[in-house]
Amino acid sequence: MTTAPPTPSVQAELAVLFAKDLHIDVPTPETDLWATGRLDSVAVVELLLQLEKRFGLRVDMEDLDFDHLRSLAAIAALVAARRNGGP
Amino acid sequence: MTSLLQHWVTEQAGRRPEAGALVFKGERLTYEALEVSSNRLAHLLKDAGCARGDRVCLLTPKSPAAIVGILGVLKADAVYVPLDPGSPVPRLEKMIASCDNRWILTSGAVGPTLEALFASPGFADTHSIGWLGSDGPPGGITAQFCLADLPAYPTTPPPSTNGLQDPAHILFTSGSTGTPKGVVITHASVRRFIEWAVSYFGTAPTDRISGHPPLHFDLSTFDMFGTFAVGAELHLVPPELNLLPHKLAELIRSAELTQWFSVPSVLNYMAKFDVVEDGDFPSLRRVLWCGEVFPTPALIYWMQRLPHASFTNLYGPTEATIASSYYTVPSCPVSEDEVIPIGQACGGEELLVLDEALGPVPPGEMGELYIRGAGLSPGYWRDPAKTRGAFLPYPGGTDPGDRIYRTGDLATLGPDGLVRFLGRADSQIKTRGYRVELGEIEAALHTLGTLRECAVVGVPSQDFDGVAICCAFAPLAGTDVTPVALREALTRALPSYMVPSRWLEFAELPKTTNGKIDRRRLKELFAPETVGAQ
Repeated sequence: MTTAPPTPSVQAELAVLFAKDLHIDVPTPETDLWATGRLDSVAVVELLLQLEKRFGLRVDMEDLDFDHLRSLAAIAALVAARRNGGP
Repeated sequence: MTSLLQHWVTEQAGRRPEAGALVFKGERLTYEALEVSSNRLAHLLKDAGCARGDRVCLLTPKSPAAIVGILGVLKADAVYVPLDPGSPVPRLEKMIASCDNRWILTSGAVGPTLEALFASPGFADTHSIGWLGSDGPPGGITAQFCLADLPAYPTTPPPSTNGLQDPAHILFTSGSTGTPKGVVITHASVRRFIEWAVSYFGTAPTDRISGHPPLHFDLSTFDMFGTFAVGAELHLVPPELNLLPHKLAELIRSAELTQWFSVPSVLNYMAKFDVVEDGDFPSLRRVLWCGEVFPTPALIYWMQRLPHASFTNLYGPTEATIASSYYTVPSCPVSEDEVIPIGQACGGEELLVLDEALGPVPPGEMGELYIRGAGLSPGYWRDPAKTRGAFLPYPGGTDPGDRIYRTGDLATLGPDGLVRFLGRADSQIKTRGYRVELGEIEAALHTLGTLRECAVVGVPSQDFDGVAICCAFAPLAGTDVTPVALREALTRALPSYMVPSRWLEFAELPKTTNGKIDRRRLKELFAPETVGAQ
């Protein structure tokens, strides 16, 4: 996984996306979204939709690994990497 | 001489000890290893005071160790109770309390859950932990034994006095008043279904079978014992793959699975993201689903791509053990509107479509679906009233043991002899294969104390999850309530699949002319096109 430094502003925007669009409260950027039962397949689909809508970022499902979805910090790193033209 | 469920493993271990029984994330367990470990665990449990008929809770993610745990409990003549490790502590507490058990076999990331359970007054005096993880138990948790203790015990099965009519497991399902119901399932009922299924499907030792559902879901008992009955290999599917449909497809491909069995939402999710190629999964011979309606467009997607596989719809509530009816789709449906029947009764079972007076309805007319036969549970654990309400004497029968189970499903019996599912007679819904009583969600919302009114309705989803759970709420005057806060509070009371995904706030909920909450109107308001981004 590409390790572009996650920017705090992306994390903050993602926290808003989770709260407003997915109705999911995420206590910290490091909260394990899977282990704490916050993320399921329905939420992943909505997340991909909203990333495109809010960030103009098209993420293909087939490029996703489980580690990309572990936490807000991981998703923020993914967003940052994509913005920099990463894989 | 195979009679109880665990004996299949003993038999295979004697016949083909080196054959693979279980595969999970690169770990492989032979039949011999499975037999020896589970025998040792059974001796250990008995030494530790576990008596015949005792309930042993399993609080562990799906893993080879969990399967060893299940077999060890059965070999100790005890009853296994698989609990969802992702379930919130208050819900787990209710289930554990009702089991009146001493032992909890556990592993995985359950530290916070165990700490919370053991923080309850008296819990530590009456409960003990057996740690099934290959690592040590989390800090602060004392285990009475762990896997490292097993080698001290004999490798052969302990003596057993259980018979086929003894319970093998208790499975909890959603209850409409807020308390989950424990369904007691006997060795005989599971055995009867497995014998029918391996014969009907022609399961063979060369089969590589998916283990998709979690262990607290009764479909997992078909995967396990259907595999062990014939000496095939069970491939446990890591649950996190459910987020990523292309990874599920990769697993089917690389493990060369021959049978896939899951709830339809998983197949639907894979179809939605188009992860199946034409002629994909060349080893796959059978695709099975159960738990809810598989939308016909997604079935067509699968059948067009896999002309080499058979496709079978299984139907049946937990109370009648795994499945009670089947329908193998003879050819790819032509129209996306085609209704796939739930079919005809599995061996030893009977489907009855009855009217309110428990008389048969004429063919083609709607009635309520009842099940009679070998799969019926003895009833709900220590709940004779609920048992009497759902398990009725067979109308006109003379044997008091001849009972029928009221499914609450509405159905027709066609002139073709096939049963078709039409909907529910009550407010139970299915979401991603899980049975959910909407009343249980409303009960949890009311206990929050922040709402004046609330109603939970199920709305057919445009997505792959079958039915979306929708909550309409009116806050108490002067309280500030948001969907995020409600959702967060509910995740502490209910498993995540029961938490509503759509929310609408009202000053007052819409009412019918007789003053009841207008659920029909709410369903319209929640229909997908009117919800959008709110």
